[in-house]
Amino acid sequence: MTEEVHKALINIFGPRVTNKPIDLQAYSRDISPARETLASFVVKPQSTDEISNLLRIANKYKVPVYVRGGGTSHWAGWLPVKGGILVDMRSMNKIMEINEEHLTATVQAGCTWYKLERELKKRGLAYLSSELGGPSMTVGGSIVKAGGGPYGTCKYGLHGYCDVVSLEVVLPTGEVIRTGSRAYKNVPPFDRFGAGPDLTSFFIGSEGTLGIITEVTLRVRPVPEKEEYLYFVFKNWKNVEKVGSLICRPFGDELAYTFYAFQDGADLENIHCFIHVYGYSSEEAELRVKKIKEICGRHDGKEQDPEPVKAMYESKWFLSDIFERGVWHFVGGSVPINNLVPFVEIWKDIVINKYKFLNCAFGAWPYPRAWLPYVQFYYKEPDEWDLIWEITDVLTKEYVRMGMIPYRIGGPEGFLPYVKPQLNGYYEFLKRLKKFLDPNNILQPGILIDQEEEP
Amino acid sequence: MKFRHLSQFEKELWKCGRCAYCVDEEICPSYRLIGFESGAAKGRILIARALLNNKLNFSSDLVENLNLCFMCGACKERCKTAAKIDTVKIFLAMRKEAIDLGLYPEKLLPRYEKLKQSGNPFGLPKDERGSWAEEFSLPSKGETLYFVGCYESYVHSNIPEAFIKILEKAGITPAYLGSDEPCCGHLLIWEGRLEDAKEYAKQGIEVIERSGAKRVVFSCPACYTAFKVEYPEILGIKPSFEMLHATEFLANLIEQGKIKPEKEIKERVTYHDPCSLGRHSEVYDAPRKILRSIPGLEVNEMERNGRFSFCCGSGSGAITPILYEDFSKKIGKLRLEEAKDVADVIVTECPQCLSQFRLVKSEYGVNVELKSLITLLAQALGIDVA
Repeated sequence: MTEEVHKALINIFGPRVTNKPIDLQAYSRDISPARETLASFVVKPQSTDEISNLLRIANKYKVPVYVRGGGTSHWAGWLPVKGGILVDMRSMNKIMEINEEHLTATVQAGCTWYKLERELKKRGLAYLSSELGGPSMTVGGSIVKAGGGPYGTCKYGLHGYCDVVSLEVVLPTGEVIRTGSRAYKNVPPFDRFGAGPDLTSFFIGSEGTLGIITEVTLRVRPVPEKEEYLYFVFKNWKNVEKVGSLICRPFGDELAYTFYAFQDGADLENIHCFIHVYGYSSEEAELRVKKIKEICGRHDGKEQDPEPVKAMYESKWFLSDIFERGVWHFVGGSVPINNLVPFVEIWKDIVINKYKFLNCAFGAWPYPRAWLPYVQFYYKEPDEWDLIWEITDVLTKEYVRMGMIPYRIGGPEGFLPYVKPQLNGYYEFLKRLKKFLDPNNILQPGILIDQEEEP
Repeated sequence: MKFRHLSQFEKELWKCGRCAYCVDEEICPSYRLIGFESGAAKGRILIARALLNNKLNFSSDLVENLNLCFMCGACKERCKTAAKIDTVKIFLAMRKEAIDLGLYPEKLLPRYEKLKQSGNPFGLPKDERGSWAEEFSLPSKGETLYFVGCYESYVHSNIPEAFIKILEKAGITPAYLGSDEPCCGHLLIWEGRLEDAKEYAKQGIEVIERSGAKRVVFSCPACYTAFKVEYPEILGIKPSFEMLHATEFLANLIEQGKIKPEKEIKERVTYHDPCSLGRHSEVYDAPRKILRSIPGLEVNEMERNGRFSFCCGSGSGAITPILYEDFSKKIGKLRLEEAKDVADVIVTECPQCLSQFRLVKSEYGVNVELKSLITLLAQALGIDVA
């Protein structure tokens, strides 16, 4: 059967399919310490039709299909745990349209944020939210995980909160649908709502399990006239928690783009807060700066030279020395806006005090009425694999027990084993939807939704 | 299986955090052609780890993959902000393994044989090496020696001619080895034939030291990189003399006022950084200083320039044009088209890049003129050049 599948894939993709061992090996890891996993084929589609044909073939032969963008997931989000076909979306990287009146950008899902930003900039526009994913991070990859990072999140939330206007999705059985206003024939993507419920949201955060996103229309904005950077150091997290909450309190008109707090495991004295402020006029930016300074000052924040903050935001696609202290692993997710401090304490208890693992940092950024805390581990592969698995296992169990919603769930070496016992009937409902949409369970099996556990 | 060359990089390989900064078809010609991540540094590092862990065999697919790397160093440059892995050295070690395993590509053999027999990769007579210099009376000994290299001696001899005429204007007569000048062995280094290359390195250093030169000026960036970077870093042999690229030497002369480009040249030009001169030797400013000194020139940068210049498609060691000519030309075409977007003339100072662009231009008819920087400078000094 493998030979038949190969022939069918060659019919669709020509030279853009491979089963050479060296090619498969090159796709065996994401950023996380999850063990290497090999697909049987890798394909690089260039069009929605090719993906549609691929999924029909996959259903015919009952072959699993996994999907990835830039491949930089840090929670085993696409690793082909059941083998099969891995779809590398990076060749679907066209910018289809930038509409300067609707303020929308429509891109193929494999377009990188780095590429989109450069094109938007030429027109005085920007998409003002970003993760820390580097130049390979794709639009589709971020949307499908509803990601968020230390850029713009304070003001605009995670990807998909409001800035995804429409999606084109190939359903697991190969049919193509468009959401929002594009659900109507010949109507451009200007509104997230189309016919009936908001099915754009249905696919945001679905981790590729309910369909393959092929096109995304985003809300873009004019580049603000004025940007300012502030740097404060705090001595206790209770104050940081309060400051973050106050900055986000004018809901919908938050005082900053970003409020990013972090503390190094080797320096438990200082909490560094990077703040990025914007304004569509100098007066507006100055007013925000004044208010933020007042809030920070009232909570014992000490103002610093903002140069490192500016440097970080200006080099956001190519941060320096990122693996200086080792390669990365993360544990993190979302918690309510008034509940950050217990997660700091547990980090200190488990990672710093119990395991004495100081080569780490605790960071957090607020987004509308929530925090996204995370612990970042810097470690040496392969020597510290066992230690990292042990520490992160203990920490994740505790964080999930305390009510943290992991940033995304992923597969058996991601958060799935921790999350499943915590989920209620919603998860069963999700499984039923998955079964309805993907009767052969061919799309991302083992990721997010574990159908095999059904009686 | 033990891999004696690759295993030296085992620790380095584990520093890769798979950030994919290097997986970018805008900077990596190999990834652009192969299309899969096995064509980018991240993928090749995962492959190298699997070789060391005996999870993969050293297959003919891998040899092809490695030879489709242009060794241009763009991935290494990107990695400087991430894990600081010397990707180029790792891929070279993999090529060396291929040679040890007897997987040397047969199509490279004629060039190797010619080099062995004639002392140059073209198989041209050794005593014709210095023909271009017959009109000049250059001594064979002196403090400053000019090292010309095979490509410029035999293929682009207008460049050394122009260079000597420029030096005449500054009152400088360099020493020149004539037919005693050996090949630098740069091509062999990139093929992975390090033992052979060492012989050329020793011979080159010895003949220069015998001439009494304290300073050597190279116009070919491949020879310059071989002596200045590759001999010490790859072969472990450090020359004792000072080494300068011709563009550095000429930029100094302009700065010191010893030559004054006064003839106006009304052209719209762009500078192509050769991988060997730019990323491998980190000479970025001197060529631009020369261009800025020429009156009338409109100098525009391509979007990809300096540290992130895009390869011409020839690559270090000019291996890809021999093994995969069509792929190589496709990359060259992209670069010429990029130049055409901002200029009418693409200027560079590498004979391999110039040969590659000439070939691509004739094949695809990209409407952009090619010029060597040295000949352009000569023109601005009122020198009649070919």
